[in-house]
Amino acid sequence: MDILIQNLINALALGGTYALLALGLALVFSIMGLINLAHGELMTIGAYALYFMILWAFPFWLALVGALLCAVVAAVLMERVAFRPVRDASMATMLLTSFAVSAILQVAYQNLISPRPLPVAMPSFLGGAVEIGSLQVGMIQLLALGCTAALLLLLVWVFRYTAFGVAMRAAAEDFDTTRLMGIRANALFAGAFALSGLLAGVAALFWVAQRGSVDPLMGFLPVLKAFIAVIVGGLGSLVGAVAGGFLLGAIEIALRALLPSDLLPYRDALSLLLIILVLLVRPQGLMGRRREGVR
Amino acid sequence: MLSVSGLTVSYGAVLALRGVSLEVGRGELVALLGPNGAGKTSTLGALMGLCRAGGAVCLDGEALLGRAPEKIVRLGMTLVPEGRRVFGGLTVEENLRLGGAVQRDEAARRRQYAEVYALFPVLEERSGQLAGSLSGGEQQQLAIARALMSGPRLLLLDEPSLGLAPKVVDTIFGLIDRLRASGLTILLVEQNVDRSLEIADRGYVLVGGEIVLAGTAGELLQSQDVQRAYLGLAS
Amino acid sequence: MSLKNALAAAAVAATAVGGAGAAGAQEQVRIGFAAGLTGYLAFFDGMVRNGAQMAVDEINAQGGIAGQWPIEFIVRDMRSDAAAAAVVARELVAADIHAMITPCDVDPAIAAGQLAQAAEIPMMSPCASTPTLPGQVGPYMFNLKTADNLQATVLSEFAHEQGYETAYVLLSPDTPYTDLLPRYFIQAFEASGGEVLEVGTYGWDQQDFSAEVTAIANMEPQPDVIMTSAYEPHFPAFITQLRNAGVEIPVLGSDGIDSPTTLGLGEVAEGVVFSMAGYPAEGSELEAFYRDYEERFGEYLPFAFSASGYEAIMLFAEAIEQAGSLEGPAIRDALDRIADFPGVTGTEITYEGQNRVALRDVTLVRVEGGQQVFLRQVAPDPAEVPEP
Repeated sequence: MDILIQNLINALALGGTYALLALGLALVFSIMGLINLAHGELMTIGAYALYFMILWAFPFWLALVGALLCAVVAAVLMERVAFRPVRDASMATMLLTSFAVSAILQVAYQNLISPRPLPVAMPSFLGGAVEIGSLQVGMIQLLALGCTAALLLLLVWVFRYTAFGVAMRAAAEDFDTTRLMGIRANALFAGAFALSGLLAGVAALFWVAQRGSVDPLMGFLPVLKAFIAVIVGGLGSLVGAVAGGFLLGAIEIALRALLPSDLLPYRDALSLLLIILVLLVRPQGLMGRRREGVR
Repeated sequence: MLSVSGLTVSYGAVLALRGVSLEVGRGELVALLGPNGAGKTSTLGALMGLCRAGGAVCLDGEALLGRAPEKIVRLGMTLVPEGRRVFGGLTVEENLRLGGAVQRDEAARRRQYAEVYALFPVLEERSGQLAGSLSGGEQQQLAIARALMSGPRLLLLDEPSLGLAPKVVDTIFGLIDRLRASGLTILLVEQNVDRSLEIADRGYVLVGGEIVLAGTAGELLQSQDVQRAYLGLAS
Repeated sequence: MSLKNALAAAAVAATAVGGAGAAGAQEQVRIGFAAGLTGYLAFFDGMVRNGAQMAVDEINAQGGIAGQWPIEFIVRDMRSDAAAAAVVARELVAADIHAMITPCDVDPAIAAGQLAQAAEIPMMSPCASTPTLPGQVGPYMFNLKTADNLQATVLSEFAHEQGYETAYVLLSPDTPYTDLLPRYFIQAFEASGGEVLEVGTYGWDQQDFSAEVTAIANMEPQPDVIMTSAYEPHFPAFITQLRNAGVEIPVLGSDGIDSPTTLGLGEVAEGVVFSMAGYPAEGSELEAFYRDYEERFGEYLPFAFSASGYEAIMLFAEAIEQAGSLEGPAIRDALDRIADFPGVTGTEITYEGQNRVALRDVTLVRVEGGQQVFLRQVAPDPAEVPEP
């Protein structure tokens, strides 16, 4: 029973990180039609910012804020410098652009910072575990869970009740018509990227806290997973991306916890197989709609 | 108020508009008629800055070509797009709120809501409902109401009767008539020739990307050419 | 190449050969290094290159190997990619090298090694510790680093001494190092009476270890010790999540975590014991070497990769001097006969009778307060070392 609950927490924590990343990807995709392969590098920027600010002896909370800020600024800059010039181009052009941005950033991290992992020591009050009944839950895991939940709730509020949020939802649904409402396209792009940068930054904090080091390629894998989550959730659906993230986290943890050791090496293949099964039953993804009324 | 001259639009090698010129005077309801594929939607797209176009477009002396749609809306011209294009995942109220996004003044926005709700009482009843769950006629009303929220001087309507039941079409045309009566300038794009000319002051007939005929509503209604323009393409 | 250039090149070559023949002492020894100067190997291969360069300069300052063969050290970037390693190795072989240093990871080492093997060029792997590597590549490949089975044996001996009777072992079948070393440990640990309660596996692209940590935390009874040869970025992720879940079982690791990352992890890495090639005790030759390295390259990096690069060149030099020839087979045979060669890491290195896997001491250290603390340097009991 304890193992089950603990693994449930593991699944929520891992899935939550995937969900944050997937939401950022989906947001940018639905507004701009861009699959941002450089999303992972935003995560890495946030992680490096945390590393350096801790190294330079900033107070820890300031380092956290700084890391988030760096990820947001980097995201906005990325849109302004790399993606705005190609925004009317074909999807393939935008995809290649994002691929190039990703490759350039990775090489820059390798050459300007370090090709190898740099250790990030979390302050001791974040270490260790908390006893909840008969359960031992890691402090960082607990914080990650709490923050993810709080952030998702905050986003629900923003998307529902603020002018910015409503405009984002509208733009995700139908970009051209949103412009016909007099809402500035550039503001929408900048907003989408800023938000996706924030989400990547938060994910980076959890990721670094859980794995203890930062390296130039650290963003690749989680974003690949997040991308799968976006597809499973339904390309273009924000709620779907979040659901897909949690589903993927649950599948991964379940397979790793339940598979007999002979089958463990096949866990990634099995998890992809399960994903394909989901897509066979629902080709449009969990929450995807077949688009209608669009020229 | 709106003056268009030599408007051209091309999609790759295909020329969709071959130099369209038209005028809309203050307080007028002008109908732009034509069969499917004549270039009506392209004309509106070009006016709103949604597609690249050549020629000249002036709104009260202000050149519009090359400007972004969001800027044009702020200059006082709004489009109700073909197929309604309401945000189905948003509530009626949220749709209207987006329509009024250009209104910075809170009092003006509240006045706008009141006006729109007075004109479309059904929308007030449904304000909390998702727009996607409305009927076709209600969605069309919402699309018009949403456009009005920006407080336009000139309203562009793209095929508001498309896909609606005859009874609902009556309602929509009744509404357009009332809007005109309230002093709003309207450019109405339609395939429904008879109904449009009943309420319009003047009209243009667009075939194959060119204006082939222009005149007052009465003249056009009696014109054999109008009938032929449609029949010619239909047969 | 134009005819004119070709003729000019031929003339230069002829002069060079003639010159060498005349002086008899000016023939160059060309030693190649297919190095990952960019990509994930850059940190390791960079240190190997610098260490090797120090040895080359030292030898050349004394007039070359045996006072007659100066060394030309040719380094080419293989971008940490196995396919590129083969291309670079082909270039090096075409440049008529006499000996080669292979990249720090096993797969590119094999890719590069097969080409040099075919050309009968003796090779040294300075970092790969997989004892099966020389067998896989062929009779011209030599291992230098503390072999996996030696490390595993010393770790197992240490575990028994500490009174650990049961173990949890975490391995990844995705690379030889992360797969074989723990398996040698299981063999040695069980052969000497220990019990391995459970073997966990992780994937190469896995960064989340929460499920594995949960499994360990809920083991009944708890294992006395956890052993793994995971390294970065997996080891930092595993140890961070393990300690942050409140699991305080001692952890044993291997030389893959002999890196600044491990020392920078803070409290979570406290108390981790791992095996490595040599410890720079104060006043030791190794410490002096690391200081020289710092003076020359501006960074104090007390990690054995630089020392391995240095040792690789020194071993080649010794073999060439013994062979008295630059012929590949002669150098190879001389290398294979080396015994008790004093390495800069503070251990003697023996190839004689070892199937080209260096027999050498293993050092154990413990992480305390972000520093390595020396525990012991031992030669494992050959009877306990599992067969490769």
